[in-house]
Amino acid sequence: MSEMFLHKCPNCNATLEFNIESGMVVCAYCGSRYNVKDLLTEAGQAASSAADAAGAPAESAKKTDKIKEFDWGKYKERLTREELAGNRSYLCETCGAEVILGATVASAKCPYCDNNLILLDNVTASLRPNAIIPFKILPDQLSDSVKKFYKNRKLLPFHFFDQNKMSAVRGLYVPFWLYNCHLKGQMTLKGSTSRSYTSGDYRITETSNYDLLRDAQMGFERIPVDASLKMPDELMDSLEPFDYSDLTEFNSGYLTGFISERFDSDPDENLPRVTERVNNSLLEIMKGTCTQYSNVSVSENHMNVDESSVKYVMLPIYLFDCMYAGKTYHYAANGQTGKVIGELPVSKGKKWLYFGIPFLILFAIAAFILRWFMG
Amino acid sequence: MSMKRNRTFSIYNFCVMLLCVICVLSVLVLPAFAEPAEDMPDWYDPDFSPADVYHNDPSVPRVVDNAGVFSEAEYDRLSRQLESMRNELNMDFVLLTDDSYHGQGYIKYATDFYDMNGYGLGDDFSGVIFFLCFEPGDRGFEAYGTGRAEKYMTERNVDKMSDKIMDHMVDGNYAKGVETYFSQLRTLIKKGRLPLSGSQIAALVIIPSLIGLIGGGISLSSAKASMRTVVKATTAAEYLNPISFVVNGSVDNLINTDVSRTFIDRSSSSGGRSGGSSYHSGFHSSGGHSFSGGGRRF
Repeated sequence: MSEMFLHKCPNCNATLEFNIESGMVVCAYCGSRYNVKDLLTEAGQAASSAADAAGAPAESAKKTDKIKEFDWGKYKERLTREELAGNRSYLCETCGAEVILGATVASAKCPYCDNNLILLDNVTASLRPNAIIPFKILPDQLSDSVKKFYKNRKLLPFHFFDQNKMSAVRGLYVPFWLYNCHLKGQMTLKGSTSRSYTSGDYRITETSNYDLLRDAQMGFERIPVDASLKMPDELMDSLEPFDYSDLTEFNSGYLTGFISERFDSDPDENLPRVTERVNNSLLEIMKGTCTQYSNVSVSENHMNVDESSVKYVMLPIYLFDCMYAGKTYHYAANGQTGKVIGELPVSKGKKWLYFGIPFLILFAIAAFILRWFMG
Repeated sequence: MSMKRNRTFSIYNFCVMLLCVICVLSVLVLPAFAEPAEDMPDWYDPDFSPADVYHNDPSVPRVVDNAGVFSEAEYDRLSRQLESMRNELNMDFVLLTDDSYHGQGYIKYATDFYDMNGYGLGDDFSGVIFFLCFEPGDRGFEAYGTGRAEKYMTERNVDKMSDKIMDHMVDGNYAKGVETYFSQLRTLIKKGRLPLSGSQIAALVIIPSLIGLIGGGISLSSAKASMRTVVKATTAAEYLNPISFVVNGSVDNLINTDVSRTFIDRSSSSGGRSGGSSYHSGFHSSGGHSFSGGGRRF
């Protein structure tokens, strides 16, 4: 039987829940409000005890600008013993029911008493996230975001706005890795300049080819990559950017009332995604140092990562569905900025309109001009 | 004394009167015996006045083959074509061939022929004359329009119609050339524009279709792009710390320089016309009618 934890109201001992509007945890029973950071002591004690049991010291940085990096080395040793597949059983402290949850679930609601459960195995000790961005957007505010999202979507069916139905919104914290890397080294690019002038009866074109050597350094900070295999990578990429000024030290109090899962895709597995993004940007940035040249291409790249680190964070995401014409379309929203993305129904009729009208207009104009030139 | 004065006066008067008579005779009689500059054809009337001519006589032949270049069948075919055009368009269409323009030049000879033979329909004597001339050293054809037909004989239309028959003319297929010319002219007057060739029709369908397809494709792609909200991130430029980006060193080494020379052809001048073409606008014939038109030498 795995261990769970409940954030209880010091006043009435009822379970607490994070309130997005106030940014505090609230007791639904007596109405008391608490700053999440004040819960740190209680949660920290519980976390410490769990961490001691797991044989790893708890990490609790107090300031957001000193958020510690995720100790991937320590975790790697433990990973071999971990079982991420299957389910784990928990005993609800409030109603005493046995709750069966997935092995990676970090917070959930008891299906029997609806209390907010924090599953300590997945949020403490070496699995404790370094930081979290709390939810800022209320589920009710999403309908406005969705309306904005539908704006200028040219192929939406004509009656979509009248007939689509939005499902209940689920707020969840998704595990992300934030990568920092510093690159240093040399890059050789090729470029050319060209000038033309007239000399007698000839037009002379001179093309000068150059080797452009650049010694540079640059740092990329907090590149987010989702650490959950259940979340489609493209969907999570599309929810960027997050405003990191809201990044705060992790406290399980923020998870109360929301579903969350721990990572099941480690930093090494996700490194190729980050490398691809960094390399693409590196080339563009280095080409930007050769603006006076044309046809710039990279010939040798000796830029290497000399420093790198990773942070384990929880980021707020909403998931919901829209039903239209008997089909379900899946949506996601950034719980901090309200940015909505997702699948959209496409009208075949509008597709023809968007192709047909410009086709006919351009055909008519071109035919008219051509006919005029033909006399 | 007074008698001597009277005799002197009468001699003087006689001499003056004799001179007057000689002058009148030389003006009235001598031209009748004078030889013309060239041997002009019978129809040519140097004292021509439009009032002397009876217009709109359908019995007057519209095809006058003085050069004898058409076979009997070709002559009949052309005559029927011109007659049909005259009935349909209410304008006169005349075809003249000759071995020479008798020193008059294309336009004077052709327009005089048109005026002096009473061609032209309506008050403005509307019609077109096509003149095919085998003048040694100046072989060619020209066509002029007058009255309501004049506006169709623009430089652009004359050029296009002439271009189309040049091959026939050069090959000696004159009947085919003239027939094609009048056929184009019929379409031009009926529809206000020249007929299109097969390749032009194909171009008129294919080029606008391609432009339409490209435009439609771009529009549809843009509409589809507006529906794509889930996109894989491929760059990390927004995560670059600008303070951290430092270029420590930068060396630009010149490897080589390629030089290419292109000859500038200054001989061709823009808007130039081929040497064998001509065009006249608003030319007034002997009959006082305004003609416009032109043609080619071959």
